Amino acid sequence: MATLTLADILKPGAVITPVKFDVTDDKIKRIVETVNKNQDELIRLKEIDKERLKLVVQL
Amino acid sequence: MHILQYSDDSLATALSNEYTPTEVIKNKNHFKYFKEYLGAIGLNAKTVVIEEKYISKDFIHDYAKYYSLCFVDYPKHCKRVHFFANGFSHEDFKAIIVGDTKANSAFWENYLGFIVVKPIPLTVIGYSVLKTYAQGVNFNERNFWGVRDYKVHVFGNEITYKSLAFQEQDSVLAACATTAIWSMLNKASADFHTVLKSPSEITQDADNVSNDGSRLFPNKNGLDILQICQAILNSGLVSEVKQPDSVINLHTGAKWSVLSHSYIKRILNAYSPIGIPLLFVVAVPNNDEYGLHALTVSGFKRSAPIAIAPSSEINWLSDNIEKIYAHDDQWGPFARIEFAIDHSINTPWTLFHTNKYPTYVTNIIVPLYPKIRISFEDIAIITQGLDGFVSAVLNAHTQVDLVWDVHLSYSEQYKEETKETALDVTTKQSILLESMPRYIWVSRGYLGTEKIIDFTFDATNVSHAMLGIGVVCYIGGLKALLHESFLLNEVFFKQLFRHPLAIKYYNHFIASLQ
Repeated sequence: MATLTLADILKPGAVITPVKFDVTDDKIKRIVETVNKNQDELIRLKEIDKERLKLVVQL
Repeated sequence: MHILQYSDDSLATALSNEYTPTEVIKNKNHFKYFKEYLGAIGLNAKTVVIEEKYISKDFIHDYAKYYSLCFVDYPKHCKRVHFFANGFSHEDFKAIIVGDTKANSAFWENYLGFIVVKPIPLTVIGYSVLKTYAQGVNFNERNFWGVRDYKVHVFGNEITYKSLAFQEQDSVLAACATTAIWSMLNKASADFHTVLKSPSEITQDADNVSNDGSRLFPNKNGLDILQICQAILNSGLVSEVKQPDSVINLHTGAKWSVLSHSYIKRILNAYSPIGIPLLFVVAVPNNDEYGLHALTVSGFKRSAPIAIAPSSEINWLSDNIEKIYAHDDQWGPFARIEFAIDHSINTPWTLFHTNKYPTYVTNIIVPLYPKIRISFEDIAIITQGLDGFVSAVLNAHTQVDLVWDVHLSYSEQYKEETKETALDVTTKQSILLESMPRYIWVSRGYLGTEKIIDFTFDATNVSHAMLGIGVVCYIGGLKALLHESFLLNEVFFKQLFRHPLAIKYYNHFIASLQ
């Protein structure tokens, strides 16, 4: 089994170098907003609705 | 002992008893289900062997607790009905059972399992261990991760096969949730320091009285979710209760909070590697109304990762789960459940319902070993941040998006899997020699069909601690690229990681990628 390299997973001919992202850039701001929105949803799911624990499983 | 050729009629005869005639058996949901499961489109049984005067450990507990005290003289002996995929005569079978089991292994490979028939009215299906359909652990195979090896003794011959025990709810001594817990404990008790109890003991563990204040036995009111968790706790495990994330409109106009398909699949994918079946609380159609019911989920079928075009939303490998397999005590074992429209699922309750009203998952109860303290949601929050960061680094240069496989694992299992990868020897040795907790979370990133990176986390810590264990890159050059990218982007990282210890995570990832 040969180890893949970056060239195997990038677009043909693409060269990738480390970049400092501009956090005021709209594209980067959108990434942060999307991630934070999804994280908030997961935090909400962690909060137990105590009323639901009283639901009776009867059938 | 009686031997019958398998047919719908012989199945009904085998499942009947003094209090439940064949006409009644034929109207039971279980008969409808077993007819398909054991019939030509299922396990394709050819022969039925009926063993009389069988002592079932589970029934004898319930018998001692309740039935022995009835005025009616219920027998304490059950019958055990064995199924085979081959045809043979009475004489053939008698010759086989006195022979060497190993020498007769070709014959015993046709053994399909058994159903215990209890000597009580109506709820006759007792401890039953039937084989599953063909199974495997790879993508595109039925993966029954919640089964275990059963050693079954048939007239002096020991046969071993994988399954998960099933029984019908005894409505006197158990609620449906009790039976679902009992099936789950059948697996958990084989793997952990967990106690397998009879249905009546589980019901007793749930509470002192029924949830309406009336007596626990006969049980008429079911168990609420809190009581289910209490019963699980008294068997040596703990529970995580998963909440709905979506709202749907029922045909009655009422709104219900349910779990979305995506969330159901993420939970299944996350917890299944530990091997404890999950309990699904489902809203099922019951005539024109809906009622809550419990299922024990022990398997699924999922397809292989596929290439997804880059997008702003995170992708989950779990979305490839196509079907679920669950024990439904009102129908049968390993019932196939498919995902339908609008977050509904197709269970036998839907398929056999006159108007085909859908079934919904309203909660998932995840039974866990107590040392597993970090939940899927804790790790999913971290993975969201990692996806934002790694996608920003890679997406402009790739044709496909990252797909995340977030799952619990035993650290020993993770190390064993590492040995099979294409990593260099030095990296493998450093992972194998690293001290890890018994349970770890793995956030694994795929690009197309290629596994490219693992982030591992301590599953036994507290959620407000820094949980990171290590980072493994499966692509040459990726480690250095990410290391440099982390060094350059502390501010961006912290916006994606709103954890109080974001700086500890930042330093951990940089150190792990060095």
